[in-house]
Parts: sequence; structure tokens; C-alpha cells
Amino acid sequence: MDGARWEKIQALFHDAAKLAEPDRQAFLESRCAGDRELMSEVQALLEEDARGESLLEGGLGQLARGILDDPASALPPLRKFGRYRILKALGEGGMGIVYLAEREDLGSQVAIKVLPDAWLSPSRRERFSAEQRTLAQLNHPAIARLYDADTSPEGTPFFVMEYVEGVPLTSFCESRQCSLRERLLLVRAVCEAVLYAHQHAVIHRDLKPSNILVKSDGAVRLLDFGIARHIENLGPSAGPAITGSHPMTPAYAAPEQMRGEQTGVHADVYSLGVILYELLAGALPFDMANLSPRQAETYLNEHEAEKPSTVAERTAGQRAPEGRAAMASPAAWADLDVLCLTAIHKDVQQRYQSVEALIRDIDHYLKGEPLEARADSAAYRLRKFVMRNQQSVLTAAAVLVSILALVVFFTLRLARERDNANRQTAIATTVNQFLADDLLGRDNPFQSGRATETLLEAVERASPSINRKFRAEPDVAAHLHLIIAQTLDDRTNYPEARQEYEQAHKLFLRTQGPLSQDGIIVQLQRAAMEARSYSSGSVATATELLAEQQDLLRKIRRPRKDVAVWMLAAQGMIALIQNDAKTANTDFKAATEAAAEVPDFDPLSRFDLRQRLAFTYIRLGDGATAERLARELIAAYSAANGPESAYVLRVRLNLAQAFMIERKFGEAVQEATRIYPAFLTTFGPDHELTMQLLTTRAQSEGSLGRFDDTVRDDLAIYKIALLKQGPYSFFSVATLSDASEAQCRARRLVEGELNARRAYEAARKGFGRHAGLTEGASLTLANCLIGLGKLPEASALLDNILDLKAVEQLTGDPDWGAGVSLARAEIALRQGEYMSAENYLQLARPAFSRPDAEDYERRKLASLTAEAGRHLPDGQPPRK
Amino acid sequence: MSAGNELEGQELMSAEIGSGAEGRRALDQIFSVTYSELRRLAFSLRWAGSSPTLNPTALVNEAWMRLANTPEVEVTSRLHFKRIAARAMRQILVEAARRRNASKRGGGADIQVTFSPEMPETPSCGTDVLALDRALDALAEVNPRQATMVESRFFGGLDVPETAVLLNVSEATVLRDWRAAKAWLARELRTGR
Repeated sequence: MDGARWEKIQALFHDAAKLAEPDRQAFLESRCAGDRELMSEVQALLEEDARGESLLEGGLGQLARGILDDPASALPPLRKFGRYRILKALGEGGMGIVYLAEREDLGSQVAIKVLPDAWLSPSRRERFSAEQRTLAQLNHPAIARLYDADTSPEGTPFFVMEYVEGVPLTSFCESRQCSLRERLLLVRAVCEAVLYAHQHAVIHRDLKPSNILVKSDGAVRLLDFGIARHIENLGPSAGPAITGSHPMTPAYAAPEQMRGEQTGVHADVYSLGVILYELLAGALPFDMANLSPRQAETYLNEHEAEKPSTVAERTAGQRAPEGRAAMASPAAWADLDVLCLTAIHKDVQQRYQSVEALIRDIDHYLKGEPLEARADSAAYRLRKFVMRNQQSVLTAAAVLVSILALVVFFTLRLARERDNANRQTAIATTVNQFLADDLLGRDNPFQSGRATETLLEAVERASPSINRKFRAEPDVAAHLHLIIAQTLDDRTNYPEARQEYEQAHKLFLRTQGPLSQDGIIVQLQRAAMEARSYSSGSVATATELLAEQQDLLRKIRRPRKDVAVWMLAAQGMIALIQNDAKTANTDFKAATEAAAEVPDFDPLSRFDLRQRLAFTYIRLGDGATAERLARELIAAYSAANGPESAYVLRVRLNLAQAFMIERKFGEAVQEATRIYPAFLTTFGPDHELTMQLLTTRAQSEGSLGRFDDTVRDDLAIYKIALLKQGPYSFFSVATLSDASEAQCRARRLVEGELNARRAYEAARKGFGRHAGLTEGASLTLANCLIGLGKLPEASALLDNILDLKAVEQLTGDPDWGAGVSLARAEIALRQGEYMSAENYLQLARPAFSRPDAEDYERRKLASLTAEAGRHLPDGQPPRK
Repeated sequence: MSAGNELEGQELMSAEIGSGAEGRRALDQIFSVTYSELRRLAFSLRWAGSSPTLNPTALVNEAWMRLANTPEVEVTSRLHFKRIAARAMRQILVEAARRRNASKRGGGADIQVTFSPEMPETPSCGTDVLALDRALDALAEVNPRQATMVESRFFGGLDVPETAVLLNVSEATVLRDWRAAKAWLARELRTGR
């Protein structure tokens, strides 16, 4: 039969099947035209169709019955593999079946793993032999040993291993009622075996109690390297991993493993942590029985593990009096909780970084020493404490929180550095210890009469002792000074931050030489801070620092990528302060992209760069893009850090600013009002960000015509700025000027003039005659003077304005120049120069007659236009 | 299907993964993990009592849930996976039937391999599977699409709409082809050709 004939048969079959039974014979006879064979083929099909007894009708279940149920189907009918006689099946795993067998000549018992149907696929064979190679490589008393490997005459590969007559770890502890110490020692023994494997570049990836057998003498054996992976195969270039994966047991699998990501030694640390947890608490940290891997993955994301002590207490209720909770004292539990929860931390970075670290902490526990993981937990408890406590300590507390965040980062970064890894780990530990003991105090930094100590006082106390304490370890000291500098910088305590940056820089040069790249980064961060500090001369300092670092960088043969990031960030910051928003935007965009290329770039700094990028869009007047970026950042970081964390608040400020640029003033005021309380508690009233927030709210209120609200907010900011930064700082000047503008608009002209004049003078003195800030202040003053009828002085001020563009960039207000024209029109009107007034009005009209122009200016434009129209000769149209 | 056939000529199977050596290798990887997992699942079930859950759809779905996140399988779609699983399932049954027949013939019955204590006696089954396998091979020679369809539906549990999408034909065509193929296979098996 060929294809064409089969088509013909089928066509006839279908046509005939449509007919009633008695009509089919005649139909077929006429259509087959004497081809008897064809006709009988079709008839046979019709019969089968009517009978409906096809094997296919019964379904797969019927076919499989008797075959898949029959053990003889599972494996080739073999009594022997080489010299080994099969005794019984022990189980079937992902890759192969394991039998108990006996060596004929010696009578000794072994386990044989066999790969059925090996010929089916090369990749099955590769995986099977990968496990065999792995075992061959591992020679450790706690790992089941490989004896022999071969292929049967039928072509079935097999290998022979040590047969372990034992019971799974959990059952062993249960039946023997092992003590706490015995359980820890058993887990420690397993850890040793896993560590040995790691040292031989093998990750087990399927650690669970059923793969860990304990013999009657208490010796542990690790089994089943079926899905083990070689570390050198982990890279993306490794190609299709021959060691591959198969479904692991969800309860013991690390979250990253569940997500199907590349896994490293951390996955084994996690599994060991779960096993330890189970042995101590009497239950798994996550009950995922009956969940599919997909569901388990979601479950893991949404649930946090309870402390094992809590679980133990609960399970003990269901157990005999000698139950588990009795095993450990509360103090011991505190350590064991940390130990377990660190080992099973969902975030790989927060987990024990190696099995070795886990073993170290088990040993610390057994010897009654403090755990290494608890430095982190002290930070956690401190954070909790800060959240709960009163306003008086919040300024210092908020800072301490950010110090701790940085410490965690540095700890990780240091731990990741491969060269001299032990040294780096030691530095990280020391940094933690110092911060915990000296700067923060071990448990409660606010006790012992220090409840009202400010950060500055804490630093003043701690900073000298850093150098003393770490005289022999200047690299530790350098990192500590840098952390403190960044924190103070974050706090906008610039002079103190400057000192700490200098200390850090000096120490990096001492340890790493004059071309220290860490030193360059310190200086670049300092340059950005100097630019940001808005104090007089600071931009020049920043530019100078930047140029120095560029020179140094040219001498370095292999510059690190993160240096380039900080270089761009410093450039961008300087450009931003110099009102070059376009360059700043390009720089921060490049910095953000460059940072993405540096794998271990500090996540907080990464976020910082993106936030500043969003801000450059505000400066560019592109509120829509700024709003979009801000929303993205808020969404991303709220999830990770909470909606009111310091970093998220910073972006929410940008969001409010973006609203303002987009002239969504109502939303801007709303957002600012919503987050203001969080700013007060998180940053304190005198933080620059809190002041920026109030400024944004004040300006938006002004745009809505709520001038009294504006005045209230602006004067509040001014008072703080005056105290904190003196009369010549950016904030002092800008807010005083803004306040006076609102006062004049609210017709509180006398107060307004006074404040406007103060602001203008301060701007001239602090920033120069034609700085954007000064030009802006002079327009405000001019408007107040017009209101008071002091026209010549107002006119002279306006004549002095040179740089409209600078003001427009500074304020983000593209219509600022139109404001000057409007002021000139008003002066002209008051002086009876109607034609001239009309000319100025025409200049102002495009900006202020738009529907989205501010009410105040629109109304002003309309009333001045009407006034001019009344005086102009007939036929002169008041408007084009 | 002849022994040693390592998935050659399965353009449908490698459709998503690409052709050439790379595609073949990727396909082999998927097939390999699917085969192992299905085999493990299939042998762990009790087929004797006719539980309604014992159908290929459930089996393949279970395998999909377990494997969908693995690096090998995540490159492929669920439908494509089912197609490959159908082939694997057919292979599993064929291999099992071969072994079973061999052990019945070759007197290897004294082997002490016991997964389940009872052993239902339905000696014709092994022959049925092998006959169906041969008949499917024969069908593939005259109409490969129809053979793929039977394999996918019967061994992989694909439903009519899925089969239609897979083969890029209408659902009506699937139903027509299925009916004719079913009758033809029944006749082949009956006459033992």
C-alpha cells in the first residue's frame, strides 16, 4: 500500500460510513469499479469501525496494564551484572535503578546502579556516566564509594557502589531519640562530606534525609550524586549541562533551584539548613507536601520560615514529654534559630556563604562561642528597635540603619572577593564586630545614658578609636571610615562626611599605594558630595577632585569597571549642579548602564544612580519620563525594602517633583502631604530631602493659588536651612525667595519685600550676581517692588537679568523668561507706556495663555491685557 | 520502530528547538529527561485496578509539572513537550513489552525483582504493544501525519484541539484521520500482518 492508495481507501471509507448500512455495498461496488481488493480493504475498515474494538479504544491504561505492572518489564532479564548477582531492587531514581547485589566470589554485598534502555539517547548515557565519574572522584569515608563500573553484554551500563546498610538520617534520630548534640554532630558529619565534595568541585544538589543514611554505629553515608553538578560546568559557556537536572524534592530545594536558576554551593547550604531545621524543630520549615514544583515556588516566595524554636514548641505539645523543646535552653535556641534561618535564607547573599561557614557556626555553638551569623542578626534586632522607639533617637537611629545596610553590603562584597578570600572575610567580620560593639553597642546602642546621642556624637566617639583599634589593619579602618563617610553624606552632614572620606582615602593610599582604585572611588564619591553640598566654592573643589582622579586613572593599566561608574556619577553630579541637565542626564544614563555591567556593584548605589537619573529628567523638564522612572523604581524597591524605606521615600520625592513639572499640582501636593510624616521620622525635619519635599509642596501649593500654605511651608524650610546650612546656602536662599514671592502674591507686600530683598542679597553674596538662583531672586523681588509701586528699582533689577536659560534650568520652569516679560509689561503699564506694555504682553502671551499655565500668571496676563486694551487707540487690537 | 532509532526524522519534534546538531542535541536532552521521568512515573503507578486517573494526559501533565522548570525542558512549549512525551511513552511501553516477552520466553522468571507483590497475568499484552508499534511504523510509511497523530493522542494524551494545533490541520480533519487510522490499526492487529 502506498500513500495515494491509502488516501483513496480513506476517502471511500469516509463516504461509505456516511451512508446507511444497507446502501454501502452498492455505493462501494459502483465506486471501486471492479477493484475487488480496494473494495475489501474499505469493507474491512468499515467492519472494524462498526465493531469499535480497536486497541486504541481501550486507552493507554488498558495497554499498559500487565506490562508496566510486571517487574519483568523493568529491566533486562539478567541474573548477573559481571561478577555481581542481583538480590533485589532497592529503588528507582531519576537516572537508573539501584539493586542490592552480591559479589559471587567474595559474597560481599554491594549496590548496583543500572541504566535501563541506555541505547535510547546519548544524553541519558552521558548523565549516567557523569554520576559514575563524580563518584570515582570522591573518596571520603562519608560518601558511598564506587567499586566498579562496566557495561553488560546487552549494552546496559552499570556501576557498583558500597552498599550502605543504614536508615535515613531523620528516622535514625527519631528512633534513637538522639540528643541535641548528637543531632548537630550528625549534621556536621554530613556537612564535612558535602564540603569535601565542594572542594572537589562537585555540588550534590539533591541533599535530603533519604539520601543520607546512618549506619547502626552512627557513621553517616551520603548517597545519590545523580544530579550532582561540577562547578566548572556552571559558567554560561559550559553548554548544555551534561549533569543537568531532574526534579529535586521541593522541601529541601533552595528557592533559586526551584526557579531553575544556576545553582552553586549555596543550594547545598540551603538543603543542609533544611535538614538541620527538621532535626531540631521536628518539622520542615515549609510544608510543601502535595504541592507541584510551581506551587511550591510560589509558596516559598510568599512565606517566611518560622523560627525552629517556635515550631519545636508546637510540635513538642504533640509529643512525649521527652520531646524536642526540652532539648535546648532558650539561650541555646536563640543561637540555633539564627543558625538555621541563616542557612535557609531565601536570599543567597544572606545565607552562609559556604558549607565551611555553616560548620564554623555549628562548632561555635558546640563550643559555646558567639556565632558569626549573629552580627547580622544584631543588626536586625537593632533595626526593629529603631522602628519601635521614640522620636528623640530617630535621627541617630535612621543613620545607624543605613550604616548597617552598608555594612551588609561591604560584608558581602568583601566575602566575594576571591583573592585572599580568608583575609577579606576576616575584614568583613571585624567591620561588623566593630560596628556592633563600638559604634552601636552590642544589644542596644541607646542604653546606658546614650538615648539621645546623635550620630555625630556617636561618630565623634567612634572615629578616633577606629585608627587606634585597627592600627595593624589599615584596610579594615579604611572601609569603616568609608562606610561612615557615606552615611554622613547620606545624612547631608557634609563637613563631617568630608573628614571621614579623607581618612578613608589616606588609609587606602597607605595600604594599596598611590594608584589605589579604592582611593580613587573615595575621591570621586567625595567630589559628587562636594558638588551636591551647594556650599560656595564646592563646585570648584568637586571639579578639581574629578580632574585629579581622571589623571590618576590614566596611569592605571587595568582600571576596574566600578571606577568608571563612579567617574560618570561624579561628572553627572557636577553637571547637574552647574545646571547642565542634558550632560547630567547622559552621564547618569551611562553610569547606570556601566553599573549594570559590574555584577557585585552595591545595590543601594545602583538604585541611587537610577534615582539621580530620574531626577535629571525633572531638571530637563521631562516630567513624564521622570514620573515613569520614579514609578518603576518605587515598584521595584517597595517590594524589596518596604514602601517607606529611606530609598523608596527618596524616589517618592522625585515622583512628587515630576507631578509638579507635569503641572499636576494637586497630585504633587497630595503625594508630598502623604509622605511628609514618613520623611520626618525617617530622615528628620532637618534633612535636605525633607526640605526638598516641603519645597515641592510649597511650589505646588503656590501654583494652585494657595499662597498662605506656600508661605508656611517655605518659611518652615527656611528656618531649618538657616540653622543647618547658614544664610548663604542654596536652600536658605531659594526657600526665602519662594516664601517672599508667595507673600507678595498674597498681597502681604511688606513682609514679602523684606524677605525678597534678604533672599536676593544672600544669593548675590553666596552664589554671584548672575547665578540662576540670583536671577530668580531678583525677579521675585522685582514683582514685590512693582506691587509696592517702586517701579524704577524693579525696572533696574529686571535690566540686570542676563541669563534666562540658567534660571529656567534651575527652576525647571521653561516659562520663566515669560515671567520677566510679564513683570516688564506691568511696569510699562504703571508708567503709562501702553504700546511698550503691549509688546511685553505679546512676549509673555504664548506661555501664559496656554490652558496649562498657572492660574496666577494667566489671570495676571488677562488683567494686564484688558488694562492695556483700554488705553490703546481704537483699531489697535489688544491681542493678535 | 527499530532499535537504535534515536529520534531521527522527527521534524515536528525539533520544530521549536531548531535543526542541525544543536537542535538534535537539545531535543535529545528533552527526550532524555522526559523519558526518565515518565518511566519512573509509569512504573510507580498501579495499572491493575482500572483507576480513571491512569491516563496519558495525567501522566504527561505530571511530568510537565515536574520538568517544566528544568533547564532542558524550559526551552520548549507545553504542547511541544507533550509531543515529545508521547514518543517517550511509546518507547517506554515498547521497551517494557520487549523485556517482558524476553523474560517469559527466556526463563528468567527466577529473577528476584519485586516492585509489587502481585503480578496480573495478561500474557497477550506484550504482543499487543509490539504489534501496535509495528503497525504505527507501517502507518508512518504511508501517512506520517496520521502516525504522529495516533502517537500523540494515544500515548501522549493530546486532545483534539491540541492535536489540530500541533499538526496544523482542522479539528474535523483530526477526527476523520483518527477514525480511519483506528479502524486500519484494528485490522492490522487483528490480521497480524
